[in-house]
Amino acid sequence: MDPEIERLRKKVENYPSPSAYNRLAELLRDSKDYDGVKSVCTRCIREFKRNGTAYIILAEVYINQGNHSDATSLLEDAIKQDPRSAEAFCMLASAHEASGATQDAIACLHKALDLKPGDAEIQERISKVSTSAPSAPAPAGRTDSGTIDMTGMSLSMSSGAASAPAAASEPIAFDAQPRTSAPVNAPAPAPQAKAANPLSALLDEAGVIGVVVADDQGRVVSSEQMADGQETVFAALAHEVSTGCEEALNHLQQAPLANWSVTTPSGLLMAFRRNAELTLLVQAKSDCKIAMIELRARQALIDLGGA
Amino acid sequence: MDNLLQQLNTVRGVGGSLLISDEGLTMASSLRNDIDEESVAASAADIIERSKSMSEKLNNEAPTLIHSQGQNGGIIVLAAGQAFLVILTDPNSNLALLQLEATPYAESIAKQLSL
Repeated sequence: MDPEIERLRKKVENYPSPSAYNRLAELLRDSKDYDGVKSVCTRCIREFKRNGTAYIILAEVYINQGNHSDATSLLEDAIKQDPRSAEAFCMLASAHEASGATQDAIACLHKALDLKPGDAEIQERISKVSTSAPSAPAPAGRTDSGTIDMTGMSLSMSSGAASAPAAASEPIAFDAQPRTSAPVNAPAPAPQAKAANPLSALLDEAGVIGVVVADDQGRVVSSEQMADGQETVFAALAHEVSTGCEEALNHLQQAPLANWSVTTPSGLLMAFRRNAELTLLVQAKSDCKIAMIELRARQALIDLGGA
Repeated sequence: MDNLLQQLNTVRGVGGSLLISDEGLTMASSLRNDIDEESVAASAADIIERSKSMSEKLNNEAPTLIHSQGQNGGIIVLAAGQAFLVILTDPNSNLALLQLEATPYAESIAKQLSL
């Protein structure tokens, strides 16, 4: 068995995380172990309900096995979890396309385009599907090789040496920000903006004083409940600490850095990372529940999404 | 002091330990042969300095414990009086238990150094 698959299997047993599940599912998919993919994705969805990538990988397998109804219902669940996931709409379009429901596929692609305005690949796919619509038979959307045409999607079904793109191993972005590019007739999204704040569960956790989201250069992306001016200091100095930790872990071959915490008699300063793109910084009181804060922070990082 | 570190290394989840001054100079060490003692000491001192600078700015206090977790293991730094106890941890270590078990060692070292 591929040692990387073995390593990831152990990892999801001991330190389950959406990214580990996703990568494991991708590797199993690439090695054509579809039962393995189903088992891993099902478990991941049970443990991390909001990890959209697991839904999409599993749906990919269902579609390729001709099980369009399960794929459709799975993708509808994914969209319920995250109505802003263009990838889920694209995959749902593939499921409709594969089952011959071309008009539904086009509708899904338009929704994806609303979420990713101007996306050339989705536009191209809409015109391709629209062109084939009048004569669309049941296998529409499949290429000569029997795989699904996934133009405009972020995941690939390629196997062997051509591995999936790096971005595919990460959960889908669950942006909290209201889209400014919503369709003209769309209802105003403002009333639900607060409820969708990915940091709210973390901020509600006992002992949390403030939270900062910083980028990979120590700049503030957003902050909540931090004292005036403290967020900039926290982000900049935390970046320094992260750099130091990363170097030390590199020396010990323990990289990449996942998180760090600095404890003082009156409180804690913590950082949680998702790749190297975003770091979630938390200032908390000494009586906080670190494990709960870590759990909330990891969920928030998934919800915040990546680049 | 070396005995103390060797004893600490028997705690489950500990992959090695060393005692350093705040300038990063090694005071005692019990690491595996394949680990470069000086670079671990220097890296740990660097983390301590950066963490100190951050916590003093935000909490107005010096750190008592620093934990850095990587994918394949981690580093715990405990203040031990004038020195710092650096513990390398295995990826599957029970961190809460490890901190509980390591704290008396740090206190014992602090006591010995203050004599």
